[in-house]
Amino acid sequence: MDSGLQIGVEKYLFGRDVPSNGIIANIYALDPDKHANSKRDVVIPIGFSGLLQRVDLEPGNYLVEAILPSGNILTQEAEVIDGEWPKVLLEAEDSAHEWHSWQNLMGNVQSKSGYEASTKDDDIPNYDVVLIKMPSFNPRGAPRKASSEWWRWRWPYRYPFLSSTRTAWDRVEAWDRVEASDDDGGSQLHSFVMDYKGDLTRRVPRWWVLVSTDKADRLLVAPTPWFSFDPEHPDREPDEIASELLITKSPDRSIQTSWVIQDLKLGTLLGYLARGAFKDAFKVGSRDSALQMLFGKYENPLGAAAGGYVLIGNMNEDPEKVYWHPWIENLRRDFEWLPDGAIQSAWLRLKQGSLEANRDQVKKDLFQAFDRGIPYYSLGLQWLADGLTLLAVDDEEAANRLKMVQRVSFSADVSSLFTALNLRPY
Amino acid sequence: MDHYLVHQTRSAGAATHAIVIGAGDYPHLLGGSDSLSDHHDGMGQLSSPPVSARAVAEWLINSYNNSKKPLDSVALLLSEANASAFVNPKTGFTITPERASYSNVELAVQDWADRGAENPDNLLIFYYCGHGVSQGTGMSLLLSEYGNNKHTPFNEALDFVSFRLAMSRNSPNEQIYFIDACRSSTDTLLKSFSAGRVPVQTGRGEAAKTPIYFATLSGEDAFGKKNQVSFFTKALLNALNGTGADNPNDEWIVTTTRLKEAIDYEVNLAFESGVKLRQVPPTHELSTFTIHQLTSEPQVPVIVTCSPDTENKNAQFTCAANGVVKDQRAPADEHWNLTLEAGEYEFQATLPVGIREPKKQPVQVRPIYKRVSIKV
Repeated sequence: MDSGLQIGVEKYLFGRDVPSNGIIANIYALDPDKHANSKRDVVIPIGFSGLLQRVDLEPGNYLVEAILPSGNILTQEAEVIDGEWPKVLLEAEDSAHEWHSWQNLMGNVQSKSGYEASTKDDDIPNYDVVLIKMPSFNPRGAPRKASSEWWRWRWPYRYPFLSSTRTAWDRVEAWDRVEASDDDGGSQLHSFVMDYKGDLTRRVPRWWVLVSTDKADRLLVAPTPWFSFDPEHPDREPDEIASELLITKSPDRSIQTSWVIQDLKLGTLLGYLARGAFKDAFKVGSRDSALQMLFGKYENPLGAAAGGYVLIGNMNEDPEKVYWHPWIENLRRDFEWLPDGAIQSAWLRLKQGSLEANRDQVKKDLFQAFDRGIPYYSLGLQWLADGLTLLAVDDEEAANRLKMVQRVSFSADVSSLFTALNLRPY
Repeated sequence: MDHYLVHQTRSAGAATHAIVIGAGDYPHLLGGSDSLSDHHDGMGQLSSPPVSARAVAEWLINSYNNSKKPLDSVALLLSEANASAFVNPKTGFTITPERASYSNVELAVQDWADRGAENPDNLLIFYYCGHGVSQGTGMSLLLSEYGNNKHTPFNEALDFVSFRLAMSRNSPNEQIYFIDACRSSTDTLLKSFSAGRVPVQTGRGEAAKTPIYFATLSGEDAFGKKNQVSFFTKALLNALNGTGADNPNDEWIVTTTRLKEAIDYEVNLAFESGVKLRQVPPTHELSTFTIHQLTSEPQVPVIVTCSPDTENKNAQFTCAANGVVKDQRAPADEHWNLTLEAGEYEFQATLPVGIREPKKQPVQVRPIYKRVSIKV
């Protein structure tokens, strides 16, 4: 067959293109009796350089449908002629600012026309943002006790940087105010790169972001450090990618936040995952064996954790495929600072068999996750609470931990991809 | 027949069992007929949930089609200020549904779960519309007598997260949950640290497929106009009637994943128009399986517009099929929204400068939506 379409999505993404792990598309054959020629779940590029993906198709009429992580759907009809490869470039809506572009793709902020209409009268001062760094070791050099996070954040007003009675532990933390990299009357953007050079398999400091107004405070797990990986250049040093936080301001001083990571391999996967579109996230992550490389190289444990959620959330689609099960165990074993690996290990077991058959190991994994502190992903917080709920029916130790987790999880904005706690909700 | 059921057909093999709950009348919330609860938290009476629940029950009885798991039973519980009869649209059987109090819901859910457990290949459908409160990972569905006991207000609530978790360890292997609850958070829940009661025991089986669909619009936009079907339920029924349909093997079917894409598309349209989204718990998984097989062509929303759209006010739009006019619209300063069966159509815009058509005729209309742009 020498015919088909060249397909892509045109959207300005702050000067970047996503050439391979981009957007999910379906291509429907429109001619009667030719529906079998349709192709579903094709991954196509997105960007502003006119990148296109060739898709082999029989001659005929087709409808191309691109499903963006935001939930928006773009469509265009095209005719395939034998020996030809016409181009189909689906145009996504513009965002109000260049610095909104990735957030808009993920559905975190409206497109240009909607945003300008809804914020035209807004001239809201920027919210206060503080970056908190909790080092790997306490003042005496012993490893940080991550499980203390479960009670630490129960007292919302215990802000060391405001307090005159700072403890020794508080003094080793860094509390730095950070300015917005971009802003307007309705939103502000902060970009975080930690310049982390340490060994990722050892203890890694944890960064939090505190967003405050006179009415509310929100504490966010910062998804850092986040490293890129390039399967085509495996020997190249990984680059740390900025984690970008968009704060949507409101006249009532309530706080809405969303993270985006401009990762060309995993950026859109995170968007689909945030929407609960596990199949789409899996298809995007499977392109060019991206998930396999992610777990193979270990250069981006936080990205690998996202991949773990996608794989487990999608495992009902093909329960026979078990090649990736050891990846989850490796994530649990090798990254003590990352609670999400142990949570995933527990749920991998819970999804494969009965609770009774797996109780001991599930309990061990969930307790280990608890001891490692608050998960980076909201899904992790939900899965930890759910797993402990299952155990707690007849397990007092689990019930006690569940209470601690619930005190935190009841404050969470669980629709956020990364853990976000409303310490003082509006 | 179980007195919570409004429909039952006794299938021999695997079957679908649904429970539909619409809680609108809350005597102990603002504007209610009984003493006001200290825990009302600003919540009052709702007109949409009983209307929405009736629409879902009627759709299931009239339109639901799953050849591998035909509809066997529909339980319906409603709380409405003036309880009225439900007429089964297929059999004419008339019954006034039992009130959506916790005690009734508990028994009805247990019966529903028992019916589902009779065959591991059954499909269970749970639909709830009414007040819901959530804090983080916790979510309570408030039933009609919520607040009748000031010491234990959540005794009249269903702890949805624990309930769904318990059900996920019970047979059958496929269960779908639709939660059309309107409120996102309350201090009462946070303080009480209890999200309600759980009517079923955690099973000892393997994990079932349990996709959940939450209404994600916040505030009044979620429930739309008084006495009308809610935004989410309308999007759900639209999806089942066609916007969520696909034809991978020539037959039009609605799968769990396509259903989500269709609902998400409508939610995104609302978000773009300025409606705020609310916080809902993330889902564990989204398994793909067939919910519904359409027995007729899918209904597809179509948007017809001039390009530029400023010309819409001068354009008379016409839609025809095989040369026969099906619908027309007089000039108006907005897009033309209509719903058509999937298929081929011809569109025209009659303007002062003459007749204009889309670049290519006929136009193919298929789910999820079709936008027809006519260059002027």
